[in-house]
Amino acid sequence: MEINKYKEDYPFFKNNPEVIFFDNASTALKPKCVIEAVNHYYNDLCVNAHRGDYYLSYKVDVEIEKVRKDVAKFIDCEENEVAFSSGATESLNLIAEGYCKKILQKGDEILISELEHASNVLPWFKIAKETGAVIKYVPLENKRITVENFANAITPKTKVASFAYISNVLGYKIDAKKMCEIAHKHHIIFVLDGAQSTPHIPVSMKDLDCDFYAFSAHKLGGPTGVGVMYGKAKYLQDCDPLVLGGGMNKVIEKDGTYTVYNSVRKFEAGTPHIEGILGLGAIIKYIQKVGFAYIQKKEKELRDRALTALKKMKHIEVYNEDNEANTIAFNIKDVFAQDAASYFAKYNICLRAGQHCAKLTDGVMNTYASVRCSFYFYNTIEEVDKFIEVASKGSDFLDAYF
Amino acid sequence: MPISDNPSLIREIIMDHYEYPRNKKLKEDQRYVKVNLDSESCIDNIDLQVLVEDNIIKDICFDGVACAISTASTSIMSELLKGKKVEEAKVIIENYLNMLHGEEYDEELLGEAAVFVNTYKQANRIKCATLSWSGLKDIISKDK
Repeated sequence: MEINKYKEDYPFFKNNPEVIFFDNASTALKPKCVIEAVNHYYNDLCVNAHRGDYYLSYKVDVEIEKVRKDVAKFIDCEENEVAFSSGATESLNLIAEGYCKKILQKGDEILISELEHASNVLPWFKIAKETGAVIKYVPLENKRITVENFANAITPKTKVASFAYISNVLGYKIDAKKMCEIAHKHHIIFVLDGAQSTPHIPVSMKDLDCDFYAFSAHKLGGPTGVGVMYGKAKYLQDCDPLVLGGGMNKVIEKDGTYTVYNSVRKFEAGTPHIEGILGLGAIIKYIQKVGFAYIQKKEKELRDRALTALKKMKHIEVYNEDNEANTIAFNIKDVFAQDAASYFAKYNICLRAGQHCAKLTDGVMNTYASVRCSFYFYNTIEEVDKFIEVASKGSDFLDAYF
Repeated sequence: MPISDNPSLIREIIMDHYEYPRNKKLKEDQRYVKVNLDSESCIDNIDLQVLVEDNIIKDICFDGVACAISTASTSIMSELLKGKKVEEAKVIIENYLNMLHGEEYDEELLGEAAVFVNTYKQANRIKCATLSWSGLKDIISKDK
């Protein structure tokens, strides 16, 4: 039997030894070091941030800022370009609402795709409605966004482009660097939704040169409810906060005037998600220790094995065998996705059924819903083999119900 | 032998209603009350249409995309409750929902709907088996 040494770092597997977790694109499991970091806050620190009048509070500030530094290193940017948020969703809303809305005028175009997650669609719909801007979709080529189609979709009215670096359901990776270069030639703000890329591939803001980037801690195995908005410093200057309150203002006058910090702190009103931020710091260190080379090698090994087997099964339809990521989107032919997922669940295999928050994508796949199987480096070949065995009998899906 | 004691019959009935759902076509008729039923926890999405006249459920039809359990339970409901007096239908629905939640019920009232007897063992499917039934209950309760 394969010994996956990383499995030991995850209490989940000790507490749920029978569960095969292949829903990693929804959220990743949490290693001990993350739980310890969260507990460290509650056990040892416990006090509020930004109240540096006493030692413990000072220490909280120092630890938070240390994580900001670690995030900056992790995604290769400057510290003053990292704002903590509640996750990729809030980050994308902030980018759209706080910055992009200000530069859009009636008739301007926002370029997205049908592969986007709801959180990279709805904020744009909202600001388009408010500004009179128009949403345009890059035409897909075999379910992919190509550099060429992107370039051709640009018009003099295009002001903002926003795409997932790796898409949520199908797992296709875009050539973000090249697209960004083209976007900048046309003075287009280029936004990347990094929710599905950050856990699996190294990213460098400096190299990609994107203007904004969003990701969630929990998809790497960090705590839920915390994430990052990256923005180039020059744009963050003009970006308005979504939420106002304590910890982000400088001056408040009775006549209603106020000023806010001229730093990323202006996006972090209220008491921060302190334990979450410390957990984010822990998962970043952990992922760096595991290393993206190993993560990618392991995911590919697992995915290739599953895919090779699934492709041989006549009753299975796979939608994304040519993708670059850790996901397989499939259906058992003539079986509703939810019934299929329930069937796998009976064998303790956790898969996600549905539209995966990407309701425009189903049109691309010609199906209403699909089942998504997504791996992470702590999964094993044995787990994949069990999945294959269950999938091979999948035509008897109602078994799950009895 | 009651249906609920016969697993192979249960399977046969559910599959039959899933593969060949009855009354699965919406009507172009203003007299019908139509509601969309969806679930925040899954992707079932059903439009249910009901015609109530003279306190009698004259017709029930539906369309949409949904899982086997949801589709079959809607199909069975449409057959079972069509032609019933509203008050009768309410009693049947009550008994059906009781069965789904593991409470006391009278199987004799439920006809083929008794096939969902074991759903309570699969908590995540209770919503599927009750989506349309709860929807219909709301419609006929409002009507009064």
